[in-house]
Amino acid sequence: MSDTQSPLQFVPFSSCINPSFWHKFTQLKLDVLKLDESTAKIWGYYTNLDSQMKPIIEVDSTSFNNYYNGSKFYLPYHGLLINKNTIEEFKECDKKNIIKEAGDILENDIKTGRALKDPALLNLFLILSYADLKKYNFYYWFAFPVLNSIKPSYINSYSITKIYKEDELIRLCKQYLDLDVNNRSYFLIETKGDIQILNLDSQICPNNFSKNGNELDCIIFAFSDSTLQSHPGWQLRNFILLILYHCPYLAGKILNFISFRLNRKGSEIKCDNSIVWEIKLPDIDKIDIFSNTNSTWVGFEANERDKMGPRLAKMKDSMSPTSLAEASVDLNLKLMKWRLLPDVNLDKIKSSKCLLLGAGTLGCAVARNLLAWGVRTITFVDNGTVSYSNPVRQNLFTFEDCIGNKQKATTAAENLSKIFPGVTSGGHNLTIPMPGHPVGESLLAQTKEAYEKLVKLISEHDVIFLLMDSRESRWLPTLICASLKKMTINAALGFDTYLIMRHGVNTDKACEVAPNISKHLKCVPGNKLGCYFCNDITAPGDSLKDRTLDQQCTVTRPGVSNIAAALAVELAISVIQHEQGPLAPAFYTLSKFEQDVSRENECNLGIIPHSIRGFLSMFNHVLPATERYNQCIACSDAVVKLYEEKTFEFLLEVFQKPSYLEEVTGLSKMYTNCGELEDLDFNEEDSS
Amino acid sequence: MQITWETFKRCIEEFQDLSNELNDTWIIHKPETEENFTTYLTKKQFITPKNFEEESSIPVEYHVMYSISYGTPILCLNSWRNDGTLLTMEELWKCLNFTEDEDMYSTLTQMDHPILQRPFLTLHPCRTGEILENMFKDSRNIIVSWLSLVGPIVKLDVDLNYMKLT
Repeated sequence: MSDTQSPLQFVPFSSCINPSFWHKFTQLKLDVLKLDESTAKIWGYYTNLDSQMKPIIEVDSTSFNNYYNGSKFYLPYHGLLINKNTIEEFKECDKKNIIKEAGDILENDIKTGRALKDPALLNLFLILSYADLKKYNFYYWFAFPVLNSIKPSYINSYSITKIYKEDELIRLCKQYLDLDVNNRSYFLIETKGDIQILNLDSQICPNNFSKNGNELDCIIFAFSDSTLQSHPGWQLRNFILLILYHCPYLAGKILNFISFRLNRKGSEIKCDNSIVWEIKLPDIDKIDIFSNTNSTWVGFEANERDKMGPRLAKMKDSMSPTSLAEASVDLNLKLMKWRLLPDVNLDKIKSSKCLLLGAGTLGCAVARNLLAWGVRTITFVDNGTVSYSNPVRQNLFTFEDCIGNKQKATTAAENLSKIFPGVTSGGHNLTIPMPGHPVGESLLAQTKEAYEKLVKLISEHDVIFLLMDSRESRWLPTLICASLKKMTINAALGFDTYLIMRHGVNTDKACEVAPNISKHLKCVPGNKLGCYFCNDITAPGDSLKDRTLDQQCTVTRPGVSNIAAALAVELAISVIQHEQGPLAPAFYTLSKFEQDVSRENECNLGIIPHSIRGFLSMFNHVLPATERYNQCIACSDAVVKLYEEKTFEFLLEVFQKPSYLEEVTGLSKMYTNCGELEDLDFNEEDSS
Repeated sequence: MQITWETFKRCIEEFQDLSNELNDTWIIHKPETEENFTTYLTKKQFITPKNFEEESSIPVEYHVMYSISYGTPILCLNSWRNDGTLLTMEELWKCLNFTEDEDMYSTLTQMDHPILQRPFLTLHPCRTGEILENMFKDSRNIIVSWLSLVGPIVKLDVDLNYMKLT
């Protein structure tokens, strides 16, 4: 035994918050407490079974229960939750006073002797908090109040196995487990005769000045702490306080204390880890204990940086419904990456900004499919309002949207956000200027504004979807996209047919591709691919006279738009995934028998066609690829060059007189050469 | 092989009774209105991961539930830092010493807890039926048999004493 005395050190608690605590707290704050700032009583839990180095005090959703119902082997800690309504109050409130108020409760429980009857009352903590429920940020600070003036000295320590034999330890442990949970934190062990656990109030009378100290000679003071360290737990500080107050004759004496620590051995619970402490109590007068001017309540927990300050729990990821939705959507896509497509680049898809020209059947369905692929920026352009026939086919609208005569573009954007709040969606009510729709003086400013807005929108996005219901409205975006070299996906519907196509992107950059692999297999590099207008040899004008697929645009079999929209999105995703992007080559077979297209230039999702033509009457698809037509009225060099030189001035001329395009491209000349155009039996399907 | 809800419930009740006897800490959760499929078994323990930077030990909570769609038990787990923020799936993998090549994606993946409707790391149930069929067809308590096989994957050891239930 050594005589050296040093100040006894205690191991402070570490707080550990179960996520369910914040969930329950949030629910209470919103539904019950609201702005009520009065202190709430809560429960904390700790265990002395199989402890870690750090003593942990836990709180969870059951902390808010009225009655303690901790798990087996857990012990109660009485808690006070002091929640402030603003961050300022949280920061500026008097922390010393807050911990003193908790200390006053302890003082009262000790002085009245209540803590002798119910020793768990010595276990007291508080949480000072501020909950920012908009951001799911929780500022909090735990404190475990103790009086700083009580300074016992360390004399010696050793294992409990040194003083008790094995059978005594077994009996001790059994008696301990039979104790009521409130008496387990602090108790007495009688050592004379048979070893026996006693409750505090059986030996210590409240305020009994006259009692002779000798009576406690055969008593060891025991407490349950939850650490493996070679110092006693924090609990001992308030235990000593209680003893000094009710047994003042023990002041300055050397006493034995036991840290009662349980461990599991198979299915048996043992107390072999317990430690005996020889401790010299401070020589302090009972009167002085609480009233001494040097006595201060302390015990705030240091934060994760080991500074005295509050902590911040950012619970957004697991609590905000929006964050949860985003995480779930991403996770769903990640599953695809994990199992089926390890190479798929989801970030590339997520960061692609998509502009949808047209918010009708195609626009709505394309938007939803993009959302499913994890695209986060979707912008609609449309000039219509939601009409009564729309909601059944256009899956972003409901009946209510028709009543207010709402604009399609903005309504689609709003409803898309309702489906998935993580999306950045926008809607622009805009009429796209069209060839053959003359612009008078009154419309001039408006048309110019629409044109400029369209250019701005196209340049701000990465993928442009042409999903309008007329052929001529596709002309201007096709031209702008050709000029800005944007990835463009076009979808057009017939009654039971559909066309999905990616436009070629005309760059000088040579595309790395072997031109023709076999005599049956033709390949068109991405920079040589045509656009929607390349197969036409008339300028777009009044659509009633047109002969293309979409001429009866609004009369379609209902499934057609969904199929076409899905294919348009899958085509776009495939192009995004291809390492060459829109410059990816398009292959197609010349012979019907050779279906085994080379897979050399495919992306991780498969081959990338130039266009997909579907025929619902036959339930089949063909995948034609066509080259850019050098006299195309939308994407040929001549048109793009003239547009880039004269911009709006050139466009105005086209709007007034579409045949101007035919002059520019030399098509008019061709007509003259060909004679009667009507005789030319032009069938798009044959071109494959 | 699928098991019925009744079998599942009997097995976890036996499990918990024995847990009490063995001083283990499994807890059965029953909702107030005891509907079918909503009773489940949980256990919390602290693990001390070797390769996790922040904490010396972290709590891990295990849930054993019945999957209606697979007709099998499923094992979910979650872990959190001391401020209540959840460990991400990748962090938890790390704590459980999973390496990339162990095909962790198809073994342990994030799914919604079927009762709490919150994301939990889940031992994927798609092969559980197969395991039950091939290995534990004759077990009297198939939950014990199954859990003692799959638990150790996620640092959940089942005491040998439970084997007397099988």
